Amino acid sequence: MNGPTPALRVDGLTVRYGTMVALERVALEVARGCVYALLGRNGSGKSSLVRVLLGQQAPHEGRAELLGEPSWTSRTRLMARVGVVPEEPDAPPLMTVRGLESFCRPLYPSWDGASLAARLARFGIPADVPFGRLSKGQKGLSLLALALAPSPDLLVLDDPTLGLDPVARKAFYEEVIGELADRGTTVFLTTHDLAGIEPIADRVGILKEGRLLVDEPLESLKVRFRKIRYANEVTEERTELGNELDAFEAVQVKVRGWGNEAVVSNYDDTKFDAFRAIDGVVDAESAAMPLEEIFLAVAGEAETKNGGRAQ
Amino acid sequence: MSAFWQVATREFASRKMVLWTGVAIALLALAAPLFPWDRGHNPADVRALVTVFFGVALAAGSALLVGASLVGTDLSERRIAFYFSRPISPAALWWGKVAGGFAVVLLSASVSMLPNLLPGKTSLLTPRGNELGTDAAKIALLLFFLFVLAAALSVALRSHSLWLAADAAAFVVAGALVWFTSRRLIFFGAPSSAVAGLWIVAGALFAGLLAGGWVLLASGRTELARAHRALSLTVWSVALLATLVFCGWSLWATTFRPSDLRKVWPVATADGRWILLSGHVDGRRKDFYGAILLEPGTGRFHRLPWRSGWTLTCSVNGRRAVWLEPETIGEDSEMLVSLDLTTPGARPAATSIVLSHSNQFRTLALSPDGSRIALLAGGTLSVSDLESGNIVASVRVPEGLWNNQLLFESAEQIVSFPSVIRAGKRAPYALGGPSSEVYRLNVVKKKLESLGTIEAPAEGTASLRRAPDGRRFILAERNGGAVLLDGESIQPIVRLLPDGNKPHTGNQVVFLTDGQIALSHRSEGETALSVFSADGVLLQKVLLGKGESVYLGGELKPGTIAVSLGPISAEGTSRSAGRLVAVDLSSGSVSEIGRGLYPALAARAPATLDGGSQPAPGSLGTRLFFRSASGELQLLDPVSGKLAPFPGAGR
Repeated sequence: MNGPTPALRVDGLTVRYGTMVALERVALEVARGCVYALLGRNGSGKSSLVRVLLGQQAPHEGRAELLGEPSWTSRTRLMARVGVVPEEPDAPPLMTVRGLESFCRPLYPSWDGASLAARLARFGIPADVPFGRLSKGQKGLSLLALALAPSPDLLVLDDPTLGLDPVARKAFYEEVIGELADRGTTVFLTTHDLAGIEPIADRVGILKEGRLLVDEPLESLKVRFRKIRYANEVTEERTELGNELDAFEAVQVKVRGWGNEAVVSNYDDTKFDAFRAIDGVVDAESAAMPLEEIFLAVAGEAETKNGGRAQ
Repeated sequence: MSAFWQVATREFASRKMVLWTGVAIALLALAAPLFPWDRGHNPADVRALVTVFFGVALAAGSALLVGASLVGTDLSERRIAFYFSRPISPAALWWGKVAGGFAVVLLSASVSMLPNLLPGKTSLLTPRGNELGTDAAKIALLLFFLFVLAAALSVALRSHSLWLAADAAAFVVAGALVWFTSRRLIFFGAPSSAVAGLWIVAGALFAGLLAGGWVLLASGRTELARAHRALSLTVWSVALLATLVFCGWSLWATTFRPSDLRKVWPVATADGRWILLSGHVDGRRKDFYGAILLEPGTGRFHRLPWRSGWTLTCSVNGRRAVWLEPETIGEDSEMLVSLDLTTPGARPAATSIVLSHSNQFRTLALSPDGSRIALLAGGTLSVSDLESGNIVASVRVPEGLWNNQLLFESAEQIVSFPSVIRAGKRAPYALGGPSSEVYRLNVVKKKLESLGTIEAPAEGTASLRRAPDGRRFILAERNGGAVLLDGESIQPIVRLLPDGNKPHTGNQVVFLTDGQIALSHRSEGETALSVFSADGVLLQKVLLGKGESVYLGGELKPGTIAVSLGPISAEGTSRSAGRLVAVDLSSGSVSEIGRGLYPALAARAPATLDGGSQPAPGSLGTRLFFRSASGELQLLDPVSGKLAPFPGAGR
């Protein structure tokens, strides 16, 4: 493959736990400088993918590379260039943040102690309190500060804002954004905080039951996915309903009292003009969707108003 | 190195409490003598007791607890990812954790033991200076083993994976293999080989556990089940490989062949059809000895533990051999094994005779037809039917009979007599040692009667031999002549003095097949062989020339006896200079067979495997000689008169 080496690449990745398939032939690439948000419901395989990417778990099939090197065999070397914030804070509970810094500093070729101290001060994290006694938000923020201290080329964040209050979440994202602005660090994160990530994500992937259903830039995703509301009537010429959305590849249709509400995955204005011209389609209008709704439409199983399943 | 050091120091720091516990125990030990104990207590004893009790508990407990939480806890709680998210190699992580964790264990144990090393009064529990280093190293090694074992067990038990069943199966297989292999080695009388093998397997297990810790992190990383699999594969690969090597070595060591025996000690049956060869087994450990009952004519042989070879006895008719074998390991019980010597392909089989007295020296003898066995053990002389195991007679014997020789005069009569008589009647080396009394057991009447007591020599020892016909005994004294005794009354018949009252030494005596008696002797540097009639009349004296010693062999043919003469002078001549000659007792002619040789078995008592016979003239037992320089067993060809290495026995 020509061009600059991607910051992260997985190909044909399969992970199984016994007979359960956690990841099935997942393939994706993240360009350098990109912020990639991997979304998925609990158990969709996000953490397995992160562990494989970080060389902490061997895949059953396929390969994973970070910064152009295989993550399993080159893990030790790679980790000097990768900052990691895990889903569950895993630092030894009896170590203070100062102790953690003392432990980590000699391990990295470059260590920016000043920026670490500044971040800790900004977050208001006491340096001499054992890690286990910090609040959940403080733990997450201190691990982010430690992950950023060696000035990594790649930042891997596994649902880092899980359980954080809105203030801590805001501080977390501001710090990530700051890092991006300063150094152009590549960020790969998994999250359920769709509203928080929407402003900063460049590209989005959606995992469902181990399969990567979506992998594209957030902008194009938001153009492709829209919500269409319309009323549908039988006329003399149009005696059969239900095929009017075929061109849009609807992923969800809900029948409301006033008409239908559909989420489509292949929207464009030309198709929408043609849709509006269909005999019997009235009051049709389209609306942009936030990332959260797109995710729900793709990964969720929404129900119709009358209790029936989405079409 | 930086990562290793960081992990090690972090591990050490996280276990500080263990170290403080050690300090607390040391302070407690120092303060203990100040408590109100009984008057007259030794402060060093109190200090030592507190130190040893709490210190050992701390050492063992901390080795197990710190070991168990070394990686198992972090793995099961996924906190190990903290290390794997950083540039720390699995090797640095494992060895750093081992170094830091064990340093705490060792240091805390050392600190807790310090009060026991204070100068001043010492107690029984105070280690001695010259043993301190060795003992400390042994304890440290044991603690390290516990520490690493706990680390591995913790991972295995926390994984809840099916590999736990595989571990259990591998443990059972390895344990069973080691058990049966050790048992086989101990059966063959080589416990030190078994112990060496156990050390090798334990060492391999230790190495496997150590390497396994590294492999589990390198291969399993944050996955507990995968880590356990890597650990199990490593540990059991190494341990089972060592076990198989041990098994293979043991199998090779215990399947020795006659040609593997060195420095052999042979005893043949009277007809020379079978020979028992005992000796060091070549290529094995220094303490590995074995015995082989060999039929040279066919090459058929049976391996025996060396100790069993000591007990092996044959019937006079040469049809059956019996011996004692260890029955089970860990107990001193033995079983009696019997072998049919006439049936080709017959295998040794345990008899149904119950040996009630374990761990005691036993003397046994077979009846001439091999149907009955006499056992002298634990103060009881019993006679049993070999086939059925039924006891035919059993009597208590007087104290001191335990080491006496037994011989069946017939199926109904057994005589018990000492083979060596020491000055003062009683042997000085054992309480209630061999009695110099000769007894006869009447099996039918179940009665033990004393035939008489042999007069002990004034000094030194004298060997007693019984004539094959049972009618006479002869007592060869070391510094005198020989006394011919009546077989029934045990009274002296005549003193056999070959040369008047001249003092002479080097006496050896053998009964010849025609009932005559041959007596060797040396006087004033001259060696000679005197022949006496059955009733002790000197018939002939054959001068053999100058020499320092005379060794009598068997009859190479009726009336011709093999004799080895020692060096001709004491000045600078070696034993290998000795001559082996054939002496024709009727004509007195002496012909040289070879040099540097001496008879292998004829002049010893017992000279044959049945314990009472003399080797038949010209039989295998009379034609075997040792080459004195090499210890090699040589066989004389009766036709060509040439000597050749005995086939089947090595040098």
